[in-house]
Order: sequence, then C-alpha cells, then structure tokens
Amino acid sequence: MNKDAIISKVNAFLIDEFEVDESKVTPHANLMETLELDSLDLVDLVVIIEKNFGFKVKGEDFVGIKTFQDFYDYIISHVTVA
Amino acid sequence: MFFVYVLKNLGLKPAYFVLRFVAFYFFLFSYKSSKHIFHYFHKVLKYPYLRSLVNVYQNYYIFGQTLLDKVAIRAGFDKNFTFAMDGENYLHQMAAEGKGGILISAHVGNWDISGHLLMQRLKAKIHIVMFDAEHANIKKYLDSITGEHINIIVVKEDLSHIFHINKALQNKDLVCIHGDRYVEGSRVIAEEFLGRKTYFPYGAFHIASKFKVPYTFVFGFKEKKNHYRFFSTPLKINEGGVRPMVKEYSAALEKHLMKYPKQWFNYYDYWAEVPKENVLEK
Repeated sequence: MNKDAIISKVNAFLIDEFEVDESKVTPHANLMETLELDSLDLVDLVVIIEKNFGFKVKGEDFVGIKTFQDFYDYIISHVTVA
Repeated sequence: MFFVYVLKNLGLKPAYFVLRFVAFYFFLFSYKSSKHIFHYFHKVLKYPYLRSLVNVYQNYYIFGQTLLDKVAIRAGFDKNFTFAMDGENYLHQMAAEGKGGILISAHVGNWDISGHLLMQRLKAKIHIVMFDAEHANIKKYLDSITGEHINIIVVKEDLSHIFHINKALQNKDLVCIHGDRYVEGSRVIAEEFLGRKTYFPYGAFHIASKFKVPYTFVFGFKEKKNHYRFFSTPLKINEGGVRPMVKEYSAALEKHLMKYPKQWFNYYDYWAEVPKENVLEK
C-alpha cells in the first residue's frame, strides 16, 4: 500500500465511523476536535486502527498526534509502505 | 488516620464501636446523601418510612465497616476474616486463558477486598480503573499503609486511560471497572433496574465489547461481622452489542442487591434524568 492509499483508507474510516463532514478532514485540522472524540470514540479508533492496519496501538505513540497529518504519519510509520 | 490508629492498636471491635457514633453523625447531619439513600429504601425498595430511616443509619454503619475491614485485612491488622467465593473458577479461567479480561463491578458491598485476595491467588495482574484522582489518592494511601501495590488506572480528561486499559489488555492483564455510576457528561444507556429506568454508563460495557475480551460481573458483600462472600458470573465475550450486556449486568446487580439491600453505596440521586444527548439508543 502506498502513502496516498493509506491516507485515503484512513480518511474513509474516519469519515464513516465518526460521521464527520469530509470537507473538515484536512491535513492541518485538529484530529480530536474535528472528530469530537471522547473516551468511547477513542476506544473505537484504537480498535479500528488495530483491525485495519494490523499493529498494536500504544498510548505513548499517540502523545504527539495533534493534526490529521500527524495521524497519517503515525499510521504510515507503522505499516509497510510500497 | 484516627481509625487506622485504633485498628492497629486496639483492633476491629473498638473501631466498630467508634464507627457507630460516626455513622450516627452522618445519619443526622449529612442530609444530602441521607436523602438519596432514604429514597432508595423508601421509594425504590418500598420499605416503610421508619424501617427506611433505620436502614439509612445501618447503611452508613456497614459502609464504614467495609472501609475499616478493607484497611484491617490489607494491612494484616486482623487475621480472623473468612471468605467464600462463588464463581472464583471463572476468574481463574479468565487468567488461565491468557486473553486478558474485564471485571465489571459496582459501588456495592466491598469488591476491593476480593481484589486483594485475588492478587494473591490469581496468576494475572489486576488493574483497577478509578474515576477520579481523589479515589486514586485514597487507594495510594491504603497502599502506603499496607505495603501492597495495586495498579490504578485513573480516568483523565486527556483520555490516556483508554491507552492504559488497552495496554493492560494487550498484556493479557485483568481490568476491573465499575459499571454502575454515571459521571456527568458521559454517555449512558437506559435499562430497567429495581423497577425503574436507570442510566448505566456506557464505558465499561463498550470497552469489553470493542476489545472483544472475556468479561464477568463481580460483586463482594459483607455477610457477618468477619465474613465476606464474593460472586463472579460465567465468562462471556460480547458479540451482540452493549444493550444485552447492560441488561445482564442490571439483572445480576439487582439479584445480589435484593439479598444485600443495605450494601448500596451510591450516595447521590441515582435515578435522576440525564441530558437526552447523552443517552445512547443502540
């Protein structure tokens, strides 16, 4: 999977799962605020990442994630990019 | 601190004696919490007026006893306690299966003591999820006087507790969460409990459901002065969504509460309405 495919896949599940307007999902938008994540949503997000990308999510990896771009980079760094 | 001194130097009986006055003080002057416990006995359980009043006092007294027992047992001040466990095998099974698991409890009786016992008997690490730092501080204080370490995951606004829970489950540890208390702003699910529509917090059930780990409902109650009985329900993995799980939990909690009605320790308006936007329909 290449980077663009990963980003498309990430955007697709975020838009679908968190029912967010597609136009709001931009690389520099704040992830937590845009998706209005609470603790239950975060559980969903962790499960979705593990299910879709096959790696275990660690809390410390999430600390620096502020924007969608940070989130894409985090996913990309954990999957084999073609 | 005073009670710890009495427990350590004079024993449980004198501590219980002093507690009678403390419980009576709360009965007389803690109107806010007494009002809700009275409501529970009089309106929910439909006890007569006078019996409800007596039960409010007894409820405070038993609550105090459970706190003293907790300290006495964990610090080893009193070795005369006896315990019975109905369903301990399920907890051993949960530990042996090596998938981790969620223990869903409630603010009734004294489940914490069984956690202490289980730590010694189960081959698994137990984490307790607490809903605010204040409780964590109490637990830390207990740890400091007992020398025992309990892993606490404190629910925080930065949502870091979700990662701690996830990590504990990844490590195949057991995570104990209370499933009965609504925290302002949290999402809830409505279910019949003691004949009334009750809002249960979604969190514990959602976590067990999403992480697909085995779960059990666990409760512990004081039976006689020095005797406790603990209950654990058969293990399940949720496949059918949260609502059936909450229904099961409500039924299990109600069943045990009918047997130990005085050991209900939710001192607030438990059956209050919550904002509609917090109530989940799924």
